[in-house]
Amino acid sequence: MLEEKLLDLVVRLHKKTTEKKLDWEESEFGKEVYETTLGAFKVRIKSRWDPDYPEQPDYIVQLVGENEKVLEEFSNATFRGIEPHPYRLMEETYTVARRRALGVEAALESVLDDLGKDN
Amino acid sequence: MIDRLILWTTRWGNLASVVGLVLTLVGFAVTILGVYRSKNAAQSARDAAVQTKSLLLRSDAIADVSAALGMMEEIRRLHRAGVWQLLPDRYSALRQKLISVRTSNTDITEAKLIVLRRVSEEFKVIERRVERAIANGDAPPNPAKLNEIVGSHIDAVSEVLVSLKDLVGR
Repeated sequence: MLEEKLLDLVVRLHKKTTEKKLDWEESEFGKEVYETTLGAFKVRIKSRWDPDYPEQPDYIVQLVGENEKVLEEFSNATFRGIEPHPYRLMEETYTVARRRALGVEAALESVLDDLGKDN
Repeated sequence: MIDRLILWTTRWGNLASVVGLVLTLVGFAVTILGVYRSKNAAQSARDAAVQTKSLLLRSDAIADVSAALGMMEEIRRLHRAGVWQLLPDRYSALRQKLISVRTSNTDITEAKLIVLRRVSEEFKVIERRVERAIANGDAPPNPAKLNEIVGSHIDAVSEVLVSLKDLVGR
């Protein structure tokens, strides 16, 4: 039952993130950790290098409550055996969250503008 | 009498010259129009042939991508069953299929080509890992993760299939 709710969370988080409806920021609780605030809670996402599959890291999501207390933590490994597996959703959520938090799009626009001026 | 004859022939001669000139000009215009129409018809025939060829290539690509998806589903089943010995051939056949799609002359966007290349390369890595495991008499590390990866690739290649079907639909 909990697994179903976690899966639902992944699906909705992916949808809202890719629709750019969530404000992601860099978290102070670790390098390359990104978080967004949802009501009284925060959701954090990070990647963890997998030495067995270096090109496919694991993605970890935390549900954080008051006083930065981690209420629940899960990863793609939590959903093993489920099909379709949400690995790609988690991967995309992380990638887009990271880009939003770091302002990658704005940086690209600025760089492209400068490159355009030289032409 | 002779004067009248000369006058008559001059008048009708001039008229005949004018009529002859008009007929020549009309004939010339008709010839040019005929050449233009037949040139257009040839061009239309060439365009139709190119379009048919393009449609056939796209249909082939759709068949190949559908086959690749079927192969990935089979690979997933084999992973679950732990039938490692059969897998290297399956990975190799799948990569050949994906290469065939990438190299056929279709209108797949650059972004989708990159997806297919990335999937192909990652299956190459998986193939090496599984071959190493087989050589050691082991299963590859973390087999459950393999199906997460394959699932992710199935999603990505399914999107390529949808975009190819959209192209044929146009």
